[in-house]
Amino acid sequence: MTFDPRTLGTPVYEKLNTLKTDTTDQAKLKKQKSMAQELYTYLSTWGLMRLKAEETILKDGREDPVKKFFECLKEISGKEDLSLDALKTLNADEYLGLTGLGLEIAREFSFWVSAIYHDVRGED
Amino acid sequence: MTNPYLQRPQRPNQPPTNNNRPQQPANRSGGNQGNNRGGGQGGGGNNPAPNNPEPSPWLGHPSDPNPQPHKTASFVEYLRWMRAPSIQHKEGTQVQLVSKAETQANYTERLNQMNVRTCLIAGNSNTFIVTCPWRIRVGGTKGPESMLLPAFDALGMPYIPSSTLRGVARAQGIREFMEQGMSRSQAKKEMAKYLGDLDAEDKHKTGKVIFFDAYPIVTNESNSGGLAVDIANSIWSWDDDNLKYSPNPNVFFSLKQVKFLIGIRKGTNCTDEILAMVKKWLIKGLGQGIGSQTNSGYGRLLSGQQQNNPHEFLRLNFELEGQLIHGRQTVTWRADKNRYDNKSIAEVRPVAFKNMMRYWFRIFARGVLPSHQVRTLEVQIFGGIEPEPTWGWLCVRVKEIDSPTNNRKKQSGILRLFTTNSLPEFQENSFKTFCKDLCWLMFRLGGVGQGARRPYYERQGNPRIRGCDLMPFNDEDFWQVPDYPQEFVRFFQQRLTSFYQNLATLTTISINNCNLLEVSPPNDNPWVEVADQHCRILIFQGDSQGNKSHALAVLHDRMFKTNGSYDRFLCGSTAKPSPIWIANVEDKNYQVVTVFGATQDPRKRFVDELRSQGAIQVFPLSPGR
Repeated sequence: MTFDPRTLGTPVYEKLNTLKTDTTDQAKLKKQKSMAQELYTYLSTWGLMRLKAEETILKDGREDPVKKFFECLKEISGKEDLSLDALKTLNADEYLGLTGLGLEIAREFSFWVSAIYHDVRGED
Repeated sequence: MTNPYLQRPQRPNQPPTNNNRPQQPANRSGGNQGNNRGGGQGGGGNNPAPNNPEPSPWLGHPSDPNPQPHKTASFVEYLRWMRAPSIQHKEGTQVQLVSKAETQANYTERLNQMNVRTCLIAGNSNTFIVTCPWRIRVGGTKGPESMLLPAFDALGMPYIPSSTLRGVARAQGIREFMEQGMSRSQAKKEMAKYLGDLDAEDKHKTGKVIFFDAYPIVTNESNSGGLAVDIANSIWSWDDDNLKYSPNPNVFFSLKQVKFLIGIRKGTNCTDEILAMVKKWLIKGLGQGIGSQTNSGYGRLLSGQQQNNPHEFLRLNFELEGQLIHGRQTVTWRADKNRYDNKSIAEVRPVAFKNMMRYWFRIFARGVLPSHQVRTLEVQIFGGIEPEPTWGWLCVRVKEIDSPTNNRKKQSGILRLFTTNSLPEFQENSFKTFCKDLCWLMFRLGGVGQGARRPYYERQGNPRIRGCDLMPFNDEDFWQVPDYPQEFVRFFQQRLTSFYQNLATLTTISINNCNLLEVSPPNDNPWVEVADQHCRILIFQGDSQGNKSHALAVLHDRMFKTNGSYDRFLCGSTAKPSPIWIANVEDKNYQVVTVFGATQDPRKRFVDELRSQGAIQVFPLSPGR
């Protein structure tokens, strides 16, 4: 893959933008916005596996950006299976490498979220 | 191949993990062991009872389904591995896991090291110790499933960040400059001379005092620096202009009865006077409370130099007998029942009193003011995070005197009310009277904690003790109650009238308490818990019947039962609070009975019955009183 700064930014922008456009529920939009902003902090504190688990646990709209995040990670990393079971069995190098890439993608989420969700007032 | 980076910390000398852990043998004696997790089969022998394996609280990992974290593992590490996402018994496993983190943590070495470091860098003369009499939580980190966490450093140790301490000193300093007559912007400018500001002139750009992160001091009682699980249960929530009842217990970590070592030192251009002044502000500010839940008694840090708090305006001894106030829970797995048994830990908690004052505030205020105004005022008085974080005017603290024992189902303590710095000075007098009246109403209309809506009584069934009696002990005339209900009527109406008058002063809205609002016309179900035109409060005298006070005996009488059971539209049921409160008035032989939605059956029938037996109606207040 040729490196281009847009490699990371484009899928994040597109997926987040689609998510925002497809959601009409105002409460859900707020939750999506706050989670998209928090992705980086969450990932750096709790790790990739735990973030993946949140995708299943959350039910109020916060799970949407998490799902989009993993879609982006799949697309950019080229790893087909990012299920919890697959993450659990990765070797250390792969897991840490994937986390590093994930952190960069999470950073893109917080970068784009203010622009895409500009008309949604934050949760807190 | 096991991945070493993904393994949870192991106990030293732990035998190698067996990936294919066998099931425990069927003839193993005894029940589940305390640390038996994931796949373990407790019980055994020839017991025919179903034996359900205890659910594992951990996020499963093939290399270690049953981890035993090292004692130095931080609480963050426990949460990182917290249970599988869609487990059936997730509440129980969550409680279990945070309890493990709390009880197993031993941070002695690390915290000692951090405190030695602070002493070495700041210098011994620049450090001091502060003590938290109850609990504290600083930091707003969200953990898995939005669990609230205290601030923790890169190694997962709980601490108070230096920036928080600087903020406390700064806020206190600004307040004091403002008290000297400066405007807020002038005070901020003046403060820059001490703590710096980017917009200040060059020599004041950098702060002159250096603050250090403050770490808990390890004691013999707590190796974890006071890490303690707590529970927050926001039972009533605003849903637009209505209140919704939905118990919603949230488990979170706090630090309890912890000591912190605080260190500051001189930076460039700092003088002894500047350092002393900043230290004074810091100590004073910490005494007011820091972090979250300060209105509920959290976050106060006292140093040896602490003076009496001038903001205290009410101190009242109390005793509570009955179902009691509880904090956190512990759980025990019941293999035969395939569920956890919960045990609530009794604790005298300021938050229980604060929330009960808040409850009665809403009840009476919504009867005379539009709900949106009540909502705004509620945040101003009691604090809140919506629409924006607000430090309320009132702070409630409780000092526990006696905790319950197996033979003594009583709690006692001293309730203390304080105003905070957010209360405008011109409101001070009316606010204090307002709170005192509200507190009186709380003590006379019901209890606190579990069973608050019923007077204390004992029965044969389980649980044996129901309801509670809450009693104030104070020599002031204000708190005395007469022997006769007719006289009590006058007391009650004076307090309530005074409450309305001060409510009008605080809101600058004229209130006519003889012209009550109708929040929502009641039906048999639903009704609204509000002292509006459909609410009745009665004073009812009568001898106890068996183990129940007379008013309760009438409520539980056969005539009000449906198909032999309590009517849930009268007595409440699970997840549906009773529309009726009954409170004993100390040891007098009369009760105060509050009935919401009393103009509709079945509540109307109950009110009519009490009246026919001689009850005196004290609410709504009649004109001329």
